[in-house]
Amino acid sequence: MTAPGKRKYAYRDRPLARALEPLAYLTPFLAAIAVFTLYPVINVVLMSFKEGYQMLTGRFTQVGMENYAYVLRDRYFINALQNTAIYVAVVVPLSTILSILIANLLNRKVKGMALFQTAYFMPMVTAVTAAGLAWKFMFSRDFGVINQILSWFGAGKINWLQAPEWSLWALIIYGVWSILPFTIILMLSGLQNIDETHYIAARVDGAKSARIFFRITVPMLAPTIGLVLTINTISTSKVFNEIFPLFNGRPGPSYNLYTVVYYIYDQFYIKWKLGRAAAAAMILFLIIFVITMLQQVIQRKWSH
Amino acid sequence: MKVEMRGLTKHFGSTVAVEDFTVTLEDGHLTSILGPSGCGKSTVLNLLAGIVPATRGEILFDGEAVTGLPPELRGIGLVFQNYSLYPHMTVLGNISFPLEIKKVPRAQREESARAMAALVHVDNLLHRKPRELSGGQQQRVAIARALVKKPNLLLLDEPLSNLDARLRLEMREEIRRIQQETRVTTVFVTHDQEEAMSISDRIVLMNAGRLQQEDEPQRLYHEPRNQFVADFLGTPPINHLPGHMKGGAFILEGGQARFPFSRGAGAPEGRPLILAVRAESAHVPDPDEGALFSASVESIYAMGKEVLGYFDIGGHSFRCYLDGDMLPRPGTEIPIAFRERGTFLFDGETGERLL
Amino acid sequence: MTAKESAGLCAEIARANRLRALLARGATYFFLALGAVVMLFPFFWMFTSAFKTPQEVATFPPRWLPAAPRFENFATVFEKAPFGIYFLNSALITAASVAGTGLVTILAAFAFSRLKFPGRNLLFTLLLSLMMIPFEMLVITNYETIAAWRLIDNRLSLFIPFLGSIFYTYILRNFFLSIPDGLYWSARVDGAGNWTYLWKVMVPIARPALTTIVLLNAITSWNSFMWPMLVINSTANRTLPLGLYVFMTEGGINFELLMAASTVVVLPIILLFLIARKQIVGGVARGGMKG
Repeated sequence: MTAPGKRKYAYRDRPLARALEPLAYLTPFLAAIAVFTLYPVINVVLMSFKEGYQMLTGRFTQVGMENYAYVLRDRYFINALQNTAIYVAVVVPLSTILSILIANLLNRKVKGMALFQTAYFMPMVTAVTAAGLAWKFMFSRDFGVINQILSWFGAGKINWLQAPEWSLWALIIYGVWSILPFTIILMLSGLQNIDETHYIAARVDGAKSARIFFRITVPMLAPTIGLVLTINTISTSKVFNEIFPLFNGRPGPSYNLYTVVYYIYDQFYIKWKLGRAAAAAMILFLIIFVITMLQQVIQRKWSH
Repeated sequence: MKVEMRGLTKHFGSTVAVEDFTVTLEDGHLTSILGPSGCGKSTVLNLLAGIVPATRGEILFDGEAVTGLPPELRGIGLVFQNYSLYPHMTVLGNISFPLEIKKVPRAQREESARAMAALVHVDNLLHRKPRELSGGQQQRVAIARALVKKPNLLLLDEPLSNLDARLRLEMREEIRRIQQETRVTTVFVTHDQEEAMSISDRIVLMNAGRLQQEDEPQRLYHEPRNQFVADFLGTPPINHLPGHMKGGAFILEGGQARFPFSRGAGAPEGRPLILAVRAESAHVPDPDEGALFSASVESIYAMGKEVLGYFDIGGHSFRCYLDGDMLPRPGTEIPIAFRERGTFLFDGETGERLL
Repeated sequence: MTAKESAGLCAEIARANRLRALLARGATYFFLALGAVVMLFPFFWMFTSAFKTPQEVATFPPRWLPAAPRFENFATVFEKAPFGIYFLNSALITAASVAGTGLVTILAAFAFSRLKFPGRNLLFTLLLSLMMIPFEMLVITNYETIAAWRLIDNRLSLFIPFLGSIFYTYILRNFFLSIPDGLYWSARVDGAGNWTYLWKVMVPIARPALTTIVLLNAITSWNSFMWPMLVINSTANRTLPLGLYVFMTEGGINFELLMAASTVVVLPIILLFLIARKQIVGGVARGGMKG
C-alpha cells in the first residue's frame, strides 16, 4: 500500500487542455486557410459587387451589378471568353484522345517502358517559362524548326507568333504538349485498375485488338475519362502562364489573345480595377462550376 | 500490484459493453478474462489500459484511483492481438522504445532491452525489422517491449489467436514461464477456455458485459455459479436435460422419461429446471449400482483411449464417455447413471444454480 | 485430316502467332518512339541550342546540332543577369515551402486523422469543398493581404500564402488513417503522448506519403511563375522562372542565351524527376497535381 499523502499516480486532469489539444495542432493550418483561402473567397464575391474604388482611401463607394455589366459588355472579355472556349474545346478532347492511345501503349509489358514513361512525363515537371521559351524558339517564323519540318511537306513559312490568326494555334499546340503528361498518368493509372481477367476473357473469345480496345478498354476507362475531362476542362479554362513566354507577356501579337485569367490579371494588376477583376473571376468560377456539374450529370447518366 | 475494479461500466452510445463489473486482481497473479466474442472482455482490458474512458465505476491500482489517468501515466505493459510492433524500428528499437520515451540514457536502455530480449529468447534477432520476423517472434518482441519498463501490470489482448496451433501451445507455456519469472500481475484476455484453464491462476468469466464468475480454473469448472459458466467451460459441452421435479423424481420435458432424483428435492415442484451433466459424469453403472434410466445409442465415436457415445434420452440428445472396451451398436439400449460430481441443477428461467 | 497434316497446321498457326506478336511489339515500339520524340523534342532543342553560336540559332534551315559546343553561353547568361541569385532564391523558397507547408500539413493531418473533436468530419468536408476554388480567384485578395502585411517584394510572400494546403493535408490524412489504431495505443501505453507518437511513430511510418507531398510541393514551388510575377519587383528577390522571363523581356531575343538560361532553370527539376520518377508519378496519379 502507498503511504498516505504520497501518490504514485499523480495526475491532474485538465479537461480544457485536453479539449484544446486538437486546436493546437490545427491552428497553423486553419489560420493559413482562413487568411489565404476562405477570406479571399468571401472577399472576391463582395468585391465583385462593389464599385467606385477610391484610390486615396482604398475604399469602395457603391454596391451594385455595374462590374458584371461592364465586364460582360467589354469586347476584350468577350474575346477572352472566345479564346478560352476554343482553347478548351481543342486542347481537352485532343489531349484526352492522345493520352488514351499513348497510355494504352505505355501499359504494354515490353522492355524499356520506364525509359518511355520518363520521356512522356518530363514536360510535367518543367517550368512553364522555360518550356515556353523553347517553344517560342521552335515557333519562330524565320529560324524555327517547326517551319523547317513543315517545309519538308511543302508548306510555306507560318508566322506562328506574330500572325493573329495563328497565335491561338501556337498556344494550343504548346498547351496540348504541356498537359499531356498529367493526362497520360491519370489514364495509365485508370488502365492499370482494369482487371486483367477482362482482357483474357475477351482474348479467349477470340476478339481482335481493335475490338478489345473499343469494347473493353474504353468503356472500362469511362470513369477515368470523365475525371480527366473534368480536371482538364478546369485547368485549361485557366490558361494564363503559357502566354507570357510565347508573347512577351502581352495577350497575343495584337492584343487578340486575351484569356479569361489574363483578363482578370489585366483588370487587377495593370488597370487596378479590382471590382471588375473580381466580377470576371466570379464569372470564370461560375462557368467552371456549371461545366463540372454538367459533366458529372452526363457521366452519371452514361455509366448507368 | 493489486488491481481493483469497482462497479466498472462502459456504454458505447446505447450499447452496453461492460456493466457493473467488480473484480479484484491479486498481486502477482495471472488472471484470464474469458468469454465469447463481444462479451466485453477486451473493453475491460481497454478500460484497464486507459484506452477507453469509463462511463461509471472506478479502477484502483494498489488502492489508488487511476480511473481518469491517460494510458501513458499508468505504468502498464500491453500486448495486442496483432502485436502492433513499430514497423520502422528494429527489434532492439522496439523493445527500448518505452525507455527512450522515459529518456533513459542510450547505453542503459539498450542494456535493459537486451536483457529483456534474452528473457523472451529473441536476443539473436535484435537488428531485424518486424516484417522479417515470424508471428511467434513478433509476439515475443511485443512481450519484451511491454515488460522492459518493469510495468506494474501486464495486459495481453488475445495474444495467441494469430498463431498456428503448434505455436499457440508453445507461446502459452512461454507466457506462463515469463510471467512466473517476472511475477508481474498479468491480465490475459481470451475466448479460448482451454487456453485460460491451462495458463491462469484465476479466471474471470464474462458474458454480455457482466461478470459471471471469478474463481480458480478448476473451481470454475467444478462449481459453476450459473448455467452460462457450466455451458461455456468443457469439451464436449455439458449435457442439458430440461424438465421439472415432481415427487422426488425428475420429469424430463415431453413426459417421455422420468427417474428418481432425490438430490433435486429442494427445488420447487413444477418449476422449469435444467439438469446439466458433464459428459464424463455420466457413465454405465455397475450391475449392483443401479441405473437412473436407459438410453438408446445413436452413434459411437471411438477416439483411442476413450469412446464418446451419443444417446437419445426421451427425445433429448446426450453425450457420455464409455469404457474403451465397450462399443455398443446404434439402436441398442444401455443403462446410464450420473455421478454427483459434474451434475448440476439450474433454474430453467434465470440460469441460477440450485444444486 | 491426318495427324501429320494437323501437326503441320499447328506449327503454322504457332509461327503466325509468333510473327503477329513480333509485329505487334514492333508497332508498339515504333509508335512509342515516335511520340517520345515529339514530347522530348523541345528539350532536345533547348539543350542543343544552349550550345549554339548566335549565328547558328539565326539561320534557316536551322542547324540541328552546334558545330562545336559553346559553353560561353552559360557564362554570358550568368554575366548578363544574376542567375546565381535567382537560383539561390528558388532553392531557398522551395526549401522553406517544403519545410513550412510540410510542418503545417503534418500537424493538421494528424488532428484530422488521430485526434477526436466535435465536428471533425464536417470541418474536413468543408475544407475539401474549398479545394475546387481556383487560386486565380483568390489572387486579388491575397495580393492585397500581402500588401497590407508589407510583404510585397519580400521572399516570405512566396511561400506564406501556400502554407495551408488542403490537398497535401488530404493525401497525408488518408495515409495516417491507414496506420492501425493498435500502434497508437501501443505507443500511448509505452508512455508516449500525442506529440511523441506523431514524431516518433507516425511520421517515420508515413515516409512514402511525405515523400510524395515533398516532391509535388518542391516541383510546384520551383516552377511557380504567376504569383512571384505579381509580388516580386526587385532583381534580388526574383526566382528562376521569373528571372528567366525578365531576362527575355529585358535582354531581347538571343535564343542561344535564352536556351542556356532555360536549361539552368529546368535541369535541377529534371534531375529530381529522373531520381524520383516513381514517387512523383504515383503522387500525381493519386491526387492530380494542383495548379
